[in-house]
Amino acid sequence: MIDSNLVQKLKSGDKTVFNELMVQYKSNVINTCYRFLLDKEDAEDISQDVFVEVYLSIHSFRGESKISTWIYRITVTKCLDEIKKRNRKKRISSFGKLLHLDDVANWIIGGKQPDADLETSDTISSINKVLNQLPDNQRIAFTLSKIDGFTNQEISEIMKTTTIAVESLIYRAKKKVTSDLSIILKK
Amino acid sequence: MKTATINKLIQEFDAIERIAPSENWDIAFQKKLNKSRMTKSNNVTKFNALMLLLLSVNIAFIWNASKTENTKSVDSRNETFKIISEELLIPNN
Repeated sequence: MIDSNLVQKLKSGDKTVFNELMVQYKSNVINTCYRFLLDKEDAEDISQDVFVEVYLSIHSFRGESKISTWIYRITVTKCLDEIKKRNRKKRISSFGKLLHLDDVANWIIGGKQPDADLETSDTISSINKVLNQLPDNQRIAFTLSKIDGFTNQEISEIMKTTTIAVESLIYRAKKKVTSDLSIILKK
Repeated sequence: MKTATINKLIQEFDAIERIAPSENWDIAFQKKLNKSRMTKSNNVTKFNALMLLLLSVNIAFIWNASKTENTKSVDSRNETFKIISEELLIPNN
């Protein structure tokens, strides 16, 4: 179906078309989220939020880009928001640990000492640490470039920039990832 | 050695397998969608109620202000007439 026709049907509230759209993009959106968040449950959760947003704000889609680009733009924004939320939580929790608030809370409810955090695989955990250090635009370009089916042209459309800029962002991200990983390995 | 380890890590990251949506993805999505719709319509209702309240407060304020202004102007005109008539020694009755 041509994009403009599809968008018109979506705007008129055609549920069949929306379901078709979901079937078409669900898997890719979930996997894009997974690449950013590196957690299956979070990826599912955020991908649902993406489609809720698509459904509720389709009337604001002006059709200046392809609908797929718009959907991936929402996906990337939601993923970055989630990452920021996680980092905030981490900061608060480490502040709490510094003040031993967990121990106090545990002592109040009469619980035991918490076990060590469940660790994900070493690779994912170290790559995640490094990716968290990257600026947003480098992270987006680098992560999307790792997903099958995304060309630099498409990434540039999602990021509203040029292909050359995307190439440069990927190059800089790779360089930073390599140097940061070597620092982690030294430790 | 270190470069080899880094390359291996990056290769492992590149090779992360695709995941498939779980069975209850659609149910969870439907729940979220219904919740968001309800929240959105509640927000619209709350916004409309607030606008209505502001409008009525505004109308009441303007109506009250204009009423006071009228009374004041009649009072001050009577006062002026009284002063002039006293100065010209015109009896009030």
